[in-house]
Amino acid sequence: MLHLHSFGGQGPKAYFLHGFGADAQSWVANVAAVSGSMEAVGIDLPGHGQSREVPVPDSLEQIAEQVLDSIDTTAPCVLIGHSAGGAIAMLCATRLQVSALSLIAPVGLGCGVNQAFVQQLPAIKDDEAGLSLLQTMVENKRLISAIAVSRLQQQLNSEDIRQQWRQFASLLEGSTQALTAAKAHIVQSNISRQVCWGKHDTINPLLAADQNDFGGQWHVLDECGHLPHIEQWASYNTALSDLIQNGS
Amino acid sequence: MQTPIVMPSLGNEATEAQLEEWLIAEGEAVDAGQPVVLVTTPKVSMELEAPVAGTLTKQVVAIDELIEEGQTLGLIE
Repeated sequence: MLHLHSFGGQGPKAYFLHGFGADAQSWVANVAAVSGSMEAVGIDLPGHGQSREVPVPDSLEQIAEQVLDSIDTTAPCVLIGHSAGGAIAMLCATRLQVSALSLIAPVGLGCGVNQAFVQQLPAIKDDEAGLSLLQTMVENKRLISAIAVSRLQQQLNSEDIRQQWRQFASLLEGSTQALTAAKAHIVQSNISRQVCWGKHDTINPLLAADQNDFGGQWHVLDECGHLPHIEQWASYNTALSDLIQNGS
Repeated sequence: MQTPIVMPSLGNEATEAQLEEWLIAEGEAVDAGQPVVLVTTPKVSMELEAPVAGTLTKQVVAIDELIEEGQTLGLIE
């Protein structure tokens, strides 16, 4: 089972799915956007955070299965996913009663994941290299703190975790048949959905054609890279609250 | 009238946050929505914006101090 973090709030659940190399704590700036009307629940994906002992399986579809095995699948919920977590949210959305779906630069949309980045992340050797690599994710470089880099280095002190992350990275090479099918399912559904993207994302760059093909509300934020929910957390939170309250 | 810059909620499981950097000096003018202070948790750094236009009259919390939800970090008049 994956580790779940309850961040507060009461009511239906809003599940937050982080990206590669992050964990549930990466959502702390955003949970208040939902916790007024829902219970905000962060999920640590396999090999990450407090699910670090859970082996990373062989496909994103299997990770989606791990998520579904760990949450309440009987009640309507909201899914929020960033990058790899966005792909997993799309895969889960086909099997849940999803009242709203918020995707942030999700794998499966966009121009494709920067393979150099995901291969370098598990191989970081020191704080300097970690800072340099993590700063490629953002436009505003001061948002990558020495504390965050140090915590990342602590996680990577284990060769087991490095191997887990290499395995995870190998799952991000492209859209799979199941992910393509999940996208088609969502497009044809009446799930309220939004997509948020940083205009200057170099990890999974925006693909303009997706806006017509995938539909929903799109929020392309200026002066943002791959972490718009952190770089412009207040704008993202407003959009997320609107999605949950008004479906737009 | 003074308007506080308030530390937002980070959820009930949030680890400690600390003030990393003031982006505006005391006495300096700010626009509404302009980033004024950088706060850091072990996972995320976030900029807090000025809630109103005016002058930053006081930095209530110093750099490296631990901060809590709802705490006033600074004042704008």
